[in-house]
Amino acid sequence: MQYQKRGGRSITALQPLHLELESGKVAVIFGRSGSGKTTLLSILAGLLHPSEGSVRFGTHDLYAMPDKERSAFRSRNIGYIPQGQSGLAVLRVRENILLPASLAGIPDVAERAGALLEQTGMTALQEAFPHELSGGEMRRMAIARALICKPAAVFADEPTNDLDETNAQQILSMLQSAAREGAAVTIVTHEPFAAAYADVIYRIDNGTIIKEGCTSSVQII
Amino acid sequence: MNIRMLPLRNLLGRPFRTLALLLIAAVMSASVFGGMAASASLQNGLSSLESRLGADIIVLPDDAKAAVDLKNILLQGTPGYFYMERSVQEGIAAVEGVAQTSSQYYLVSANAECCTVQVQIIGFDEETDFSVKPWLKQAYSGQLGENEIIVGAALSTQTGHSLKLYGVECKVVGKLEATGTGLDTAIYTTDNTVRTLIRAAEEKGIHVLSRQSPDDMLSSVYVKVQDGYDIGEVEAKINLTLDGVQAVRTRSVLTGTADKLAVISGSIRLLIVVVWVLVVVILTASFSVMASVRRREFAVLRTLGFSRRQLVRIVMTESSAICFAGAAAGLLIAWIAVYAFGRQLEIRAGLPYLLPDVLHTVVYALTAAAAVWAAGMLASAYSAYGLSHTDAGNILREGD
Repeated sequence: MQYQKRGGRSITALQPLHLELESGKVAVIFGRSGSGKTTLLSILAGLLHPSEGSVRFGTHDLYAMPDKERSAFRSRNIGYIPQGQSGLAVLRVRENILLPASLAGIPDVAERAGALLEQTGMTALQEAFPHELSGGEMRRMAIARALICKPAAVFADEPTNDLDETNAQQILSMLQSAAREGAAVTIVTHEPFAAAYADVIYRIDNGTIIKEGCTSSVQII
Repeated sequence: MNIRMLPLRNLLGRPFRTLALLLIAAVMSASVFGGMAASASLQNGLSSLESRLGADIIVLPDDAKAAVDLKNILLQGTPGYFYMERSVQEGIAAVEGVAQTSSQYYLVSANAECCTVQVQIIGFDEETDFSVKPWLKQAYSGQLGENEIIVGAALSTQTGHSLKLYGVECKVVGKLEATGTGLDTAIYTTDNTVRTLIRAAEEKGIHVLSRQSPDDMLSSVYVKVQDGYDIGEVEAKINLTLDGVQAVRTRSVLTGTADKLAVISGSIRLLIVVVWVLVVVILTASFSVMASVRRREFAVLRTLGFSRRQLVRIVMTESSAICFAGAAAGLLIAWIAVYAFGRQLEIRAGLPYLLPDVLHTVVYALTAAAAVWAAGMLASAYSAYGLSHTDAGNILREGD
């Protein structure tokens, strides 16, 4: 995966890889900062066009679709939890959570939104604005937002970053629950305790991804 | 949560930024619309005055004050009067190339019930007039009788009412449309009525004329030149042939005004262009700064499944909303300014001022709104493109 950084410098962010993610399982990808974790996640989530290769989602080739179609597909099938603060400042917590469903044209999600708010412990904060939330609350809101459309795949980029252990465990537990409900959950992190929630563990270093227990780069089909 | 409302929520959620951009759009819209309307009002005033004078040459008593007074009467509505021997008219009529002559009689009211200030009374010759009657017809189609008057648009009286001038009860039989000139504050009547008023004034001890009889005097003679004759040559002949008078071309009375108008209109046009360019630059800079601040917000939207086109639409909708709301505010402010300060411009600069009709006003308003919208689109297009082509994952990582 060739990647052009701002300023025009071209770097190789990821070495050629073949990775398969399974429904109902939590895949945790460990790696240091700059190892290529976010790039990998962006490619898997349909946000960053790889310089070569493809990302297949069931029978769909994500990058063969035009942007409009791919975006619509992503809004219905992929939940993405970005790193850090991702609340839309002008919308209340409840509106933030409902936005993807509205975008995907999914009706009658009020009940699910209520359930997610309760599950994430955000019911009392549903009318709050993101700037009124703590880091942990913000992350929980992002998880609820990522799950509102019942996506088939959930990608979480450093979801426990800057959180205390209690909050971090809570977040990871929620993502594990999403997997148990059938989603293919992928978490990239550098926090070792995330391993406890993983069904499959990968390590990424200098753009090369290795499955825990394997000595060569990932070749899983 | 309706995604169509997202641009509006973005605008309402950031009131100071929105207000600042609205203000910029309003300034632009006000300057474009105000400039166009003011320029048109001045041109309209001049055209209206030119059409109302209706003569090729005006002959006045031979002193500088008379010419200045005539200009003030016509342009600023400053009342004035001057007189010369009635016999002059025959002499003018005899000059080669003169097709038609008609006299006018000027008088200033001592006190009229309609007004807090003195008003100009213009008496014309019912038999020979070719300059006043054609446009008086819009207010009154009959023949003006003794002590019947037609009033200018700016006088606060109505048709059917009466005005007492020098103690003489004068019936208002018509009211003229606005011209945006000094003529709006004048009273029109026949020269016979003016003579009656002069006599009434004399009886009250107000000596308008020194010793002469009102029947032997007049204020000005309007001249129409025969086809095929050069107006300048006829003007020169009158000046050479007759003593104690000055013949001036009607256009020359207005030349200074037309020149002044040309300068003002040119300045207004330049101002509009400068403001437009400045606003485009300011808006471009503002949108660029905003784009930089909002990269993370748009990256989040991208991760949620917004397509590039939808992101562009959000930016453009916000920009359009700001431009249209700002344009509307600017139009309102400019319209009030053009309406309220127009009369001041007329008085202080001695310029005729007639507001454009509804159709033209609408055209100017739409032009101004379109100019603001075009500036907004131009300014936000680059930012919209940039925001829609962000690498969402990396931007969200950069923020921490």
